[in-house]
Amino acid sequence: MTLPSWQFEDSNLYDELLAATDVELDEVPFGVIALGEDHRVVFYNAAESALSGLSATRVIGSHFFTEVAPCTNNFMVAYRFQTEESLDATVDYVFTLRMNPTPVRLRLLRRPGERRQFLLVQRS
Amino acid sequence: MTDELERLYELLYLLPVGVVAFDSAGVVGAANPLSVQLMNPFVAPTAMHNAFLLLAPLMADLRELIERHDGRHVVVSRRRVVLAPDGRAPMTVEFSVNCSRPGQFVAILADVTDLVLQERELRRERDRIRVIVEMVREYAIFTTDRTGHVDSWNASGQRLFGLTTDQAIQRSLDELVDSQGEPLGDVLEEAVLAGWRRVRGWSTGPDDMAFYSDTMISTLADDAGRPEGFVVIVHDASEVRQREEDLRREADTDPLTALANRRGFDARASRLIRACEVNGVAASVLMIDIDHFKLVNDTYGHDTGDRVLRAVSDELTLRLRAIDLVGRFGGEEFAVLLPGTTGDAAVLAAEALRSAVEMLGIETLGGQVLRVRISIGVAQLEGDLPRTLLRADSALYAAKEQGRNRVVSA
Repeated sequence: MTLPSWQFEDSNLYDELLAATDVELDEVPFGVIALGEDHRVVFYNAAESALSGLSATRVIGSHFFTEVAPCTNNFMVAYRFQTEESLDATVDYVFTLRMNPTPVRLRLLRRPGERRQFLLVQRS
Repeated sequence: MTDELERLYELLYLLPVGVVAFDSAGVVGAANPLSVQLMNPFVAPTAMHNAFLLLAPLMADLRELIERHDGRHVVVSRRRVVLAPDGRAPMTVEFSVNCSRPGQFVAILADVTDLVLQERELRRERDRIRVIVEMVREYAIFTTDRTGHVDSWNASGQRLFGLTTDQAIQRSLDELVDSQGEPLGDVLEEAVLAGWRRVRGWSTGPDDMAFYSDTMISTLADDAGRPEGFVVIVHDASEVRQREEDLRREADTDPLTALANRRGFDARASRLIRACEVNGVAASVLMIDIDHFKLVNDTYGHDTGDRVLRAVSDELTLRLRAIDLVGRFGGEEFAVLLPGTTGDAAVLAAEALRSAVEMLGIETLGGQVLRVRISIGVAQLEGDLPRTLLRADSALYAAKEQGRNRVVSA
């Protein structure tokens, strides 16, 4: 098995993430959070787990914007997932990871009909 | 990663207030997401690690304050700051800073925008109610404590009772409103049980003027539902009472002679008779009829007939005592109740009436002078009033039979 060499900025990243197995997603060096249509967490990769200090088992099944990261429940992140059918946007943001304000870049990925939406997190 | 630490992170991520721990140089040691989220629209991402920069929109001189800090626990106490993010509604943040140990500080940030709006709405509501309370005429609205002592007063009470706040506070409710002899404690207990209680009676207003008060006492409960005081609404019902009395007087009065009608006579007679019974004295009644009144009507017309009725009623009223009760029972028939009077004394009184009416000259519309006479039946009160009136009526019938213009005792 070759390790995925995907970059945060790859233009076809959404398709690659959809095609990847969960094991492969765990190898990705940036945070990968996969959400179902109801915005519950269906996958939380190892990189994101290390950033946030929360294990995947604790997070999976929870509503991401209200139960995991209320600081994203705003116009910049949650609102876009709720209102934009097709979404591929990168925003500069500050996450507070392990009690430290951390500037990050977020990539928001959504397409109509897909089983997974992604929120990607990379330290800037 | 320990489970404990994970739980702590989770708690911090979900905490509904912002928390920022920093040292005296402003270096952020720990922060939770909400603190950063609140400040994010106002500061650059690079400022996030410096508390003085991060919190500058809330307090520009935080650095100076921390440098001058003298060791007290509270550095900033619940300071409210309005922040206006670009293109969005203003947000109010409540902001405190405590010193947790020497050189270490914790800032707590809460978005109190909704609370401020609620407080403003409450304040407006209170102002509106205050205006209403102070503007109402003929009403006083105030509160008392659980024992019925006034604990808030306003312009409405001052107007109705003529008491300043200083004079009214701590005054007992029973000094202000009349519970008709019922102890205030009982009135308040009933208000507590039923939620409210109404009392009516006489109160004293400005310049010691009495007014008729209609009072609603409603129970105020504390958060646990226990009664903690009362809202009292006093209405100056003097005009209402006057109107009611006027109506009652109209309903009880014969419009032609201004004497009591049958209804008014019965109502007032029963009170007088009770007073006689209480005092153990006799009472007597007279039934009086104008002789040949039909002839007067037929000969001189109804207007003259009315003059005769008025003249006779005036004469009866004039000759009788103030405590005696005279009524017109319809037509040319009158009844008199003489309290404190035996049958014998009543016969003498009746005779005096008969002769006074006989001497009366009544001018007709045509300018003639008429004389009328009356027959009277007398009965001392025995049993109830209706039976006594019947006996007096029989005596009156006998007087008519015996030739009129005379007094006959039952």
